[in-house]
Amino acid sequence: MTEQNARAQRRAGRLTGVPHATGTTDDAATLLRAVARGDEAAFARLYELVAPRVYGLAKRVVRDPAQAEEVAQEALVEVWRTATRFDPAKGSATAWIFTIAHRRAVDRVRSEQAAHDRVQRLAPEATQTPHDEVVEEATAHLERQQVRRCLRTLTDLQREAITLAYYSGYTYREVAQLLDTALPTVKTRMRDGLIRLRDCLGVEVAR
Amino acid sequence: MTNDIHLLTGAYVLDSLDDADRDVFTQHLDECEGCAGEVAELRETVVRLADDSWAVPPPRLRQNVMDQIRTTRQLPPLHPMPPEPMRPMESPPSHARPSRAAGWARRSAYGLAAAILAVVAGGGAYLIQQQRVDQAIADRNVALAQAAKMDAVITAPDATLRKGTVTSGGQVVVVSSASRNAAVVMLAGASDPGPQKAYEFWMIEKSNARPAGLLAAGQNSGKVLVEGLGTTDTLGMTLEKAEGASTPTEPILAAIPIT
Repeated sequence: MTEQNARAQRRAGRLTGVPHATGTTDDAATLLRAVARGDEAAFARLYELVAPRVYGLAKRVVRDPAQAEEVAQEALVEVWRTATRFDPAKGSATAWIFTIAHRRAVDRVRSEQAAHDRVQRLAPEATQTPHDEVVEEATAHLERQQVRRCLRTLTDLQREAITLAYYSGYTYREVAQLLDTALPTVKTRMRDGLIRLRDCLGVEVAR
Repeated sequence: MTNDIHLLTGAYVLDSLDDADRDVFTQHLDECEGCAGEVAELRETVVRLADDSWAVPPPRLRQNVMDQIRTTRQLPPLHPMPPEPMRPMESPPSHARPSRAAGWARRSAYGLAAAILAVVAGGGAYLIQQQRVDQAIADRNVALAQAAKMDAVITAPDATLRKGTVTSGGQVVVVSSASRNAAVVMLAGASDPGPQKAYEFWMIEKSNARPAGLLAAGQNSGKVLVEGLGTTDTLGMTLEKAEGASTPTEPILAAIPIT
């Protein structure tokens, strides 16, 4: 694998050796530039690179596999449609793509219809989710321990605030309610939690 | 809120601001150079959270996406002058402002009312959200406790993953951790047990079997947390009546050695 990967590993200390986002940043950026010129083959390769995470993220946020599929499709088509607007000076291609995907997923769960289904969405995933890809997910869980390991270095409040916002799509006002914590505290914990996470993951802004 | 608005960078990159707050913040972002740098950096961090959400998309997704892009015109490159906010349909999904077109189009009267209230009354908007939050809290606590225990097993330093096939179809994955004295058992792709039957798991030690968890009736996939493994040497699976059984009913459909 790439020198960049090796560098990412050194930065973050002991890692699992599984390629992750930092190892694919350049590829995604190169492909995205080709996509911006209307290159459908490049888009197909970009799909292979990011679709499992786009879909997985959508599924994690909206929970319902059918809706997750719709969200993933919307997000990926949006990547195609707006690829010309990607600005590498502002961040990595993967950050740009997953920002679109997460935004779409959050929009979906905050729509009125989704609010109606919200309680169902919160039902214990552990016992009720009809997964077709449990095996792959379990393997992925083990392979992606770095993020989890770093999440565990946060305080409970930091971690809960971040995961409730990102994985469950709650607004920070809702997070404050759920955690029975003052609003200013929640926004501060989100920020300092992410800063600690950044330091643990060894994230660099691609410029 | 305005006195320490730059502290909202975290909530912003997590997409956790509501519309009114986000508008205020993005306005601030235009005037605060340091904020933009921090937002970019935290954005890269947040993206890593997506690493942990990998899932195999349905095969048809690829075809659907490829079909749709062939009939979707790409936006022209952006000129140096930002076109917002007069053309919301073309607002770029840049780091400063992800595309809101679909969200706005879908946004209900309720959402708009909440946004307006938030502007008028500051934090008052969340009162509207109070009910669903209350509803969610009880479910969430149960779900979180269960999920946290599963996470603890799956991420234990000594977690071991083993796979086995189910004789009647499907696959069982067992992630066990001696240090946690627990395992997570996952079933995928099993045959439909029918509405009156349920798959049950067993902790087997020599010739003794203890119940290790029951899926809901009719469910052909799912996860179960198994606690108190002790000296269990094998995880077994059988098909039982909907409410489960105290001793396994033959045949054993799957047996995964875990020692």
